[in-house]
Amino acid sequence: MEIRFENISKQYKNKYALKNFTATLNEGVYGLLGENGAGKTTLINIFVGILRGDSGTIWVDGRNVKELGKAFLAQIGYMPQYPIFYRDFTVKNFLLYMCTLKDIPTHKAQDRVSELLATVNLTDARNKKIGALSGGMRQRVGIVQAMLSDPKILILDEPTAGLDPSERIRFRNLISRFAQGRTILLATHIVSDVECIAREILLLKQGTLLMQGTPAALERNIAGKVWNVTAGAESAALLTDMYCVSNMKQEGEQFTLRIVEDDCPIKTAQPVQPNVEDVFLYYCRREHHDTSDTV
Amino acid sequence: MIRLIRYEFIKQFCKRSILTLFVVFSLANLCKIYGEYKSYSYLADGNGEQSWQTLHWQLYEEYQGEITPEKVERLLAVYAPLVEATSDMTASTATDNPNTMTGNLYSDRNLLDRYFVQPMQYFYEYSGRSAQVANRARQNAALYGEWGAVYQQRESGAIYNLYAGRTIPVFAYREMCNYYLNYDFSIVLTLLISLYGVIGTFVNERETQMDMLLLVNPGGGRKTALAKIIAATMFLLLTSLWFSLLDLIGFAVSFQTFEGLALPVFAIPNFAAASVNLSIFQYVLLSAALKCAGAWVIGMLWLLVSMFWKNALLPFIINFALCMALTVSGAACAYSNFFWLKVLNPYSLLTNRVLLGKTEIVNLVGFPVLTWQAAVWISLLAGLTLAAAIYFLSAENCHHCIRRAK
Repeated sequence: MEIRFENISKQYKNKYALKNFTATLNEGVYGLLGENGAGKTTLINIFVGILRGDSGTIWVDGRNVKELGKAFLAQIGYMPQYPIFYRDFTVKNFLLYMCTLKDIPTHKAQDRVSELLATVNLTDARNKKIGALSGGMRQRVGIVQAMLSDPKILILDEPTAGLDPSERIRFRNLISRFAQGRTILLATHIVSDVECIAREILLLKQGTLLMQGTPAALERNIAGKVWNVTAGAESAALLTDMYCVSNMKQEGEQFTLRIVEDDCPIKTAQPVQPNVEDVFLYYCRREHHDTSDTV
Repeated sequence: MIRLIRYEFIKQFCKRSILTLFVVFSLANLCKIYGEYKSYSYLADGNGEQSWQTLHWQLYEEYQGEITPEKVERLLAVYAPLVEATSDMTASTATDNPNTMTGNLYSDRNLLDRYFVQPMQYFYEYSGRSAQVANRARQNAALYGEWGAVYQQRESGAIYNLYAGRTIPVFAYREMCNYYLNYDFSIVLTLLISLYGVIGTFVNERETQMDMLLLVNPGGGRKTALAKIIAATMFLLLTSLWFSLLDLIGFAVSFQTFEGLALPVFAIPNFAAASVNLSIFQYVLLSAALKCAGAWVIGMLWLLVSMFWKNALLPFIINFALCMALTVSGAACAYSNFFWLKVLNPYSLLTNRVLLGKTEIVNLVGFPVLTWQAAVWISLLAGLTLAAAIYFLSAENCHHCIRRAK
């Protein structure tokens, strides 16, 4: 399956939420990475048809989604940001209701719900009310409802927001399990969510696609631009003000700073292997850092 | 679609809070009905041998059924001496008089007067009075015919058709029916529960952010909106029917009888000029149907208003204000001659005795139409328009609606 976004734009008053977004996605997990307000949710909302784009076309296997209409909706599974669902429904009833919305016949619905609840380890909670579930369990219910119709395209909007580390890891593993044979678009601003599982990362900034590539390719792009510096408290504070620091670790009286910078910040700085977080900082925070630096 | 409607109904209306309200309001309604009985019925004086309750039903056995000259004579034979003895108010006021039924002469007279003589006299004389109205209407129709006033001729003809042949040949106990037909408290309860139930239909989806998820599914969008409209309609109808039924059962249990339901509705003094020739039981069914229609139109109005808000508070306030406006204006014009105000206000259908209790006719494109019939048609039209507006104004998936437009 090939999904192609072609010059998708959306403007609110005079501000672009999305500007000429063009990208091609194939099978696998695609991480849509960007700061809050970068345009991730706008892109997803346009993709799933909640929002009307000002311009551009989305092609799925060479067919315009506007022509596919309802047939396109049958191909997608969507998990919205911060789902609350219906507090008074039990997990099972909610999922059966979602099956009805997805036009899944009753006899198939029961089996599909049981199968997916077992996959996400929620069988024991099937008769619990949704209002009584923890955040992580609710997110798992969210991905189950998205997977009910066995969609070819899975769209997850900030699925791990508010989860504790163990639930986040569990959720990440689930996404990897579901990735086989389908395209998953995962929007997040948490780098670790996509770093390990994404086939490619799309980096969004202020509505514009900065770059798209595999994590390794993105990291290669900024090779030689990440530095480790050891400094005392006063110097560390000064360096933090002057440079984009992706990490700062205290070891006794000394601080080890991880600086993302084009040029070697100080003579004692050691170049290190970049990671996706550095890439994110390099492209997304740089302008902000430069601005404050100038000031 | 049926599964979708079922889920919508469960989702919106099978909530603990709504079920609790149903129970509480139903109990409050039953208490209020029993209070009416205790406060206003003279038969609520216990079951003693000399109580009105006991004596009434003993006498009723004797006088119920077809009104015959023998029965009238027998009744007057008992009643006339009592009237004579008590007319100058000098009779004994003793309450243990062994020559009386209740122990007191005045009490005997009042019992017979209130429960037998007055109703029987009313029943007996009613056919004459209605024949007078019918004759006058026939004469008017002929006169208007001569003058060429077509509408007035039709109107008089309609009145003639309504009143000609009206009789009340059978005597029956009518007190329970009288209080039942004039009871309004349950309308307030119906409106409050309906408002509370309906208000969340669209708003809850936004509050739980399910509105977005619904849109992304093939059964979402307008299909869900239609399911919501149907589920809300079912809820409104069920609520109205439940309280109509509860009123009838409440009154029957409180007054300990279903007697009188077979009487024509004009046997009740308030309904002497009723615009329908139905038995009270048939009237009860018609009244329940009209209440359903009124509640449905008001409910659709609430639904339309609530679908534009993100949380329930403000639409609740607006809808409550709308409801108050309809109620107050409906009450203000209930007994006025502004027939069209009654016809256009769906609240009139809820308190439908203002439409059914009097013969009032409006001119609808040159034809005389009874106000209750006009109100039903206009309300159905308004309700359907509101439902269509809700359907077409509800959100739809962009991809879906673009394809449909093509």
